[in-house]
Amino acid sequence: MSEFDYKQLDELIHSRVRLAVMAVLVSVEEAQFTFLRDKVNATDGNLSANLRKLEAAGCISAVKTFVGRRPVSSYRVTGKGQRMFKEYLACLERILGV
Amino acid sequence: MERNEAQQELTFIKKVMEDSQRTVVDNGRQYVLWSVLVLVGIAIKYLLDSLRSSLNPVWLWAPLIAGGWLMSILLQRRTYSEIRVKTLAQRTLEAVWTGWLIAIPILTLVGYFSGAIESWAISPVVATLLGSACFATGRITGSAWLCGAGCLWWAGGIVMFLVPGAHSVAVLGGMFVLLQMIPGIILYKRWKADVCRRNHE
Repeated sequence: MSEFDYKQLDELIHSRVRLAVMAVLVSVEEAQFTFLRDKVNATDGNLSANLRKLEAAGCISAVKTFVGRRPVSSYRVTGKGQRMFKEYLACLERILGV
Repeated sequence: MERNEAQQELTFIKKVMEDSQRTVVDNGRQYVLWSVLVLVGIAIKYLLDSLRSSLNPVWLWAPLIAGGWLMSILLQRRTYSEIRVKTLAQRTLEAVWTGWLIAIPILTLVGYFSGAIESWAISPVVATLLGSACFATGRITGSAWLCGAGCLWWAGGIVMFLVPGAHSVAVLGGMFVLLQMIPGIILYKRWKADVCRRNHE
């Protein structure tokens, strides 16, 4: 295989749950926690932990609101997150020689 | 990372992105609202006709359409706060129906007042426009039956244009029940069941 260096892959995004979250969020304008959970098929705790990591890295931003009395968390991808995701995809394409 | 693994990752990302982009919420409330308003309008029109009233139909439909607009805006605001994901497809869907809501009074009220559209032509015009909105909705949401409903609206429009009659308004009412109200109720029940399921999780 190629001169590909695995270190080029962003470790933050290179986790199945975080990758799925990023793929969902770059495709939509905004998504609530329950939507992400259903799409990613993760448990609440696992998803929360991964969302916190992405938020801490500045890849996504969170907004907490109330719908009626129910607290709702919504997430959207930031400019930095968009760039990181594009770079990750470019990296994968280099491996494939696309 | 091996080539196969990278290929799997890319396929996975592509699938997740495609699924997410197509996500829309169509809870059917607007379909039911407009069906009810149109049916109320048709019932009043037949009542006025039977009483040989000389009331201009514009004075019947204008307040109904204005009331429908107001209720539509309120329903849309409520739906917007309830939906779990905002997508380009969702915005496109909203634009299609907002366009329909604006086009209908222009064609039916302004068109009628200006003399450009005669009263008999209003029903087929409404049916044809609804066909376009339904067909576009079906394409956006990937729903074959909504595309089919759009085609039936168009077919109804053609029939009403070719065979104009005093009862084309009644035909329009029947089409509203079959192609808007019933699908609207089904969509609403599905959406409600989905909300209940999520709230119990």
